[in-house]
This record gives sequence, C-alpha cells and structure tokens, in this order.
Amino acid sequence: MSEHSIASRAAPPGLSHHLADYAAARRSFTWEHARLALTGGSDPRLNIAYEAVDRQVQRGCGVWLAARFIDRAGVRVDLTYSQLQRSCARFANVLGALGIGRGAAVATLLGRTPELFTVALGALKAGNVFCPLFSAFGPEPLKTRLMLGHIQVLVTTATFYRRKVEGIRALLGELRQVLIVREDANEALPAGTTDFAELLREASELFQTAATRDTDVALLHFTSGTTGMPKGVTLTHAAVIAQHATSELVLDLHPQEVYWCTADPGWVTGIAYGLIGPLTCAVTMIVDREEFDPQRWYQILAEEHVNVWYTAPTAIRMLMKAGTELTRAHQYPHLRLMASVGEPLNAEAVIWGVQAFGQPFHDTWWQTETGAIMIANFAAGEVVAGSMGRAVPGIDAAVVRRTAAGGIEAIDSPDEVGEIALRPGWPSMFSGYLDNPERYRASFHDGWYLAGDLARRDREGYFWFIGRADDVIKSSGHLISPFEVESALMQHPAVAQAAVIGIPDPIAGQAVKAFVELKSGVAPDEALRLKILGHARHLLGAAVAPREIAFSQALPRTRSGKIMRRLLRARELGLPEGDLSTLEGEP
Amino acid sequence: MDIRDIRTRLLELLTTIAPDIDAAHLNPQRALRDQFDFDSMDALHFATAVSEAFGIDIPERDYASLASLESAAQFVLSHLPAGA
Repeated sequence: MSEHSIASRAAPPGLSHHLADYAAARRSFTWEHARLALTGGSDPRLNIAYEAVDRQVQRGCGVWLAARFIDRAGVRVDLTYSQLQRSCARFANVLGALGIGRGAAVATLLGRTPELFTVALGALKAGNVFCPLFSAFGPEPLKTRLMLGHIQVLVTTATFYRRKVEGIRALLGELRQVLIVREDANEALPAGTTDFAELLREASELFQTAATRDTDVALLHFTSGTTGMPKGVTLTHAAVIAQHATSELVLDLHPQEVYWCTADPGWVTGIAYGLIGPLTCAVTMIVDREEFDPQRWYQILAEEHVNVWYTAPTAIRMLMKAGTELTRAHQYPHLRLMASVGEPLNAEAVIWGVQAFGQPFHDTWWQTETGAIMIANFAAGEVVAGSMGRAVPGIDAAVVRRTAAGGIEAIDSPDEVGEIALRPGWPSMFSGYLDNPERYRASFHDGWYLAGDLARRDREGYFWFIGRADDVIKSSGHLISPFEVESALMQHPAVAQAAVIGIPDPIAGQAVKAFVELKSGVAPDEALRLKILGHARHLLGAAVAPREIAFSQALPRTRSGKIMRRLLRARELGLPEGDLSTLEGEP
Repeated sequence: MDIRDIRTRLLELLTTIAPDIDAAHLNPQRALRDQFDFDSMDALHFATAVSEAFGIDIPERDYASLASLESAAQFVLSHLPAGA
C-alpha cells in the first residue's frame, strides 16, 4: 500500500459494507445482476421515480422519512416516502391536465425545496424528461438552456422568474407553462404564470407510472464544453441502475440511514446522489435549504445524526480555513463515511478529515456524461489521499493515448499520463448530446468513451488527476465554458474581443479570469472594468461570471485568428509557453 | 472613522466585487444574498476586502456578521483598532 493510504472508519456493529472486498466485488459484479437486485424481476419496464419512491412504499416503508428539509431558521419539514409518492402522483396528473405530452421536457429553477422533489420525480413518473437548472445562472445561460432543451414547463419562484426569466420569456416559443412556487401565501403571481400549489391541490393523488423502458430518455443535464453552446446530456431511465448500485457500493447507503448530500440540485450530483440514488436505498436525506455556513453545517452533521456525508472540495477547503476549533464544538459519533466529488480533492484536505473528524474524506470521480460514480475510494479499507480512487465494479476504466495512426490505445505501464477512458456499456452512460449526434459520436474512439480528463494510474490501480485535456474551467465544482463567458463579455459595447481562462484558486479550485480587448478609441480605466464586470455578472450570474477582468491591448492569436487561451494561461501562471510558431499578436 | 464613513467604504468594496449590485435599491438591513446574486465566493472576497481595507482580522466564524451592509458596518465599528 502507498504511503498516502489512510484507514477508513470501521463499519459500526451490525452493519456490513456493501463492498467489503474490492477484488471479489469486481469479479462478481454484473449490470444484469444490478438491475435484478434493484427491480426484483425481469419486467422490461423501468422508471426512475417508481424505483426511488413507489418501490419503498410497496415494500411497506411508506412511513419512513424520505427527506428532512431544514430552512434558514432551523425549522424542519419532514417528508415520508408515502407523502412523496402522493405529491409526485399529483404533479404527474397536473402535467396531463395541462396537456403536456409524454417525453416533453420539464425544468426546475429552484433551490433545495420539497417542490423540487415533487417536480423531478412527478415528471419522471409521467414519462417526461426532467431538466434541473442551476438557480445561480443569470438570464443568458438560462435562455440558452431553456431554448436548447425545448423546455415546455418551467417550475420556479416569483423572485427567480422576475429576476431571470421574465425578460427572456418572449424568446422562449416552446415554453408553454411557467408554474410558480409561492414563497409566501400573499405573494402576487407574475403575469403569464400559474400557481403551482393550487394546481397540485386540485390533482388526484393516484397515478399509474408511465411504462417507460431502460432506453427512454429521463434526464437532461446541461454541461459545458470549450467551444460552442452548452451540451444537453441525456440520461435514460436505466441510469437508476447505476445510481442505485453506486449509492450502495461507494456511498455504502443502508436503509433508514441519515444521508446528507450538499450538492446543488441544478447539477447532476444534486439529482443522481441528492435525489434518485439515495431514495432507491430507502435512506433519510437531509436537505439544507441554506447556503454554506461552517457553524450551521457542523450543527446539522451533529444534530441530525448524519451517517453518510457527500460534499465537495470547495466546501471542505472552506471548512479547513474556518479551523478545527469549530469542528470540535460538536461530536459526530454517527458519522461513518465522508465522501467528496466535483473536482480532485487534494491530499491535505483528505488528511484534514482525519484531524477534524477522525476519518478521511473519500474522493470520487465521475461526470455528467457518465451519469454515476466511475472511480472511487471505497468505504471499506483504505483511502489513498490525493487519489481519485479505483474503478467501480462493472466499470472498465483506463488511461489511454492517441497512436500515430490516429487510434486509441490503453497505457499499460503505471504512472504514465494519458486521458481517462471508459468502455461503454454501463447503464447510466449518456445516451446523447441533445440535437447533436456528431458531437456525441466524437466522444467515442476505438471502443472507448474519452472523458477529457488527464490522469495517471499507479501500480495498485489508483487514478491520479492531472488536469483537463481542454480549456473548460472548473470552479467550485461547476464546469464553466470559456466560450459562454466570452460571448457574454463581447455583448458589452466597449469590448472587441475576450478570452477567458481558469486560474488556480485556493478555495474554488479554479476561478474565472477574463482578458478583454477594447474597441479602438475606448480607454481602459477602472470604471469601465467595473461596468464590464457588472454586465457579465448581470447576464451570466455570479457563479459563472469572471471574478477578475484584465485589459489586454492585443490578445494572442494564432495565424488563423483563434485566441490562444493556453498561452494566456501559461503567461498567467509563469509556465513555459510552448510552441509559438503559429502565434500572432502580443510580443 | 465614524459609522457613515464605514458604510460608504463598505459600499465601495461591495460594488467593486459585484458591480451589478444596484446600490440605490440596497436594503442595508437585509442579507446581501437575499437581495442580489451574491454567492459564497463573493462573500469570501468581501470578507477579505473588508479585512484588508480596515486592517482588522476577521476569522471565518465572524463571516456571518458580514451578511448585510448594516451588520458589516456594526462589525467593523466594534473591531476597528483604537484611534482609527
């Protein structure tokens, strides 16, 4: 074992890990068995909402708590599996009553609310496609996603609607219904919207789950590439097989355990492991409606007796910054597994877990396109600090390189850097990029799905993250397309050109930095810089907009006119600039 | 430095981090993140900027005191070094 390995916390008495012996699990695991273990039979129908909710009720677990929502004041709202089943059935009926056909896309622009659970699972139950949107997006990214996603129904709050959607509504020809979740009963409804609660109240709580199949599209998640528009990643109902299997194998969830996933429901983690996977394991989910706050988080971990906690490197680094004194204000005797996802977790953060909680964080790796965790440090055995972990049972992961002939070959020798590649065939593998079959096909080469992340694999099979193979920025765990940010910047009347890169940030992993070339005759000054920053934040939202803007007289370009982000990044970080033979522009 | 100077300086810092904030409609009593698109990274940058501008140490546990403009002003006032 490596010098970086740290023992996980032992399973408490009476509980055995789902995955106790890694080698044995890899030998015996098959996806056919996983499907059978989930559904209990060979019925060709498969529906995520049914597996997440109805199945637990059918098993007699309807009175168990599915979720506990905690608001700012600390008020708890509990939701049982039976209650969730009824509210989902009501929403499925609402969609029918509104004339929304099966397969049409239903989106949410909501925080972590009970209504989000109802809409997501109700839409899936009705055979509709569910698309979560990140509530920190500004109007511009929302417009793009609502259009590309052919969204017919949007469920949001009046605040979000007025701030982000009302101004772009006229452009959204396919958007038929906007349903408003009222934040207080006296709140006025914006024009052209309908009260969500009222529709739900009038609907029946009986609904026959749509007879969906494994291959039917269920989820639409937007993710970012280097160039062009955001990509609409589609996952099918079969994703639930892998999301359930990994909730057991990696997160080690057992029925009635208390589980807290801190991810935002606007991203794939917040749905796969903040909703679907854990419900299929019949756990109680803790849902904190507030934003990050160290004292509050420690209090929740302690008071709610959280057993398994799935969080993100940015949050862990903020907790580290706040110091272990705060951690030690509480005790966590129930906490037995801490896992992390979103970006690579540095070894210091893993080890800090031991100092603060007496146990390490378990890093995991996956992406929107994989639909479920692919590489992980497992609950049983040891964590290798700073490593992404090993391939999940049922997943054939490798590090590959391109051959001179243009093909792909797996790298067999340990510790050599290449691109992470996965053999297609696992059930949560994305079924397409919406309306973009060429881009989908281009993700596969020689029988491998290429993930776009560079890594090395050591002798023991542990993967170590190196970097992205492209220019995509990862900030606070969110993928940000430089193209999308540059396009927004160029909408400002003073901006001629913009180039956007990720720069290292001690908390967020990467922060967005923009270099802006002004139109001729426009003088760069601080007032203009702030105006452009304000413009970008207004269009994109704080989470996507640059944190820093610098003026550049002439951005470095290739001879064909393409801006060289790689060179900007090298200059920013003081790295070697590489081959500049095709470069024009700044000396 | 009196409370009015502090408020003015805080508003400058705030609109440097988030120039999209509409100062005319800012309610100083309400949490910034309830009024504007002001995320946790913004809050962190604001805390760092306040700490540097006023020369005061702000431990993480006190970040909650910077949630609204008025609570931030009161926090700064009570932590300013004597004679500042």
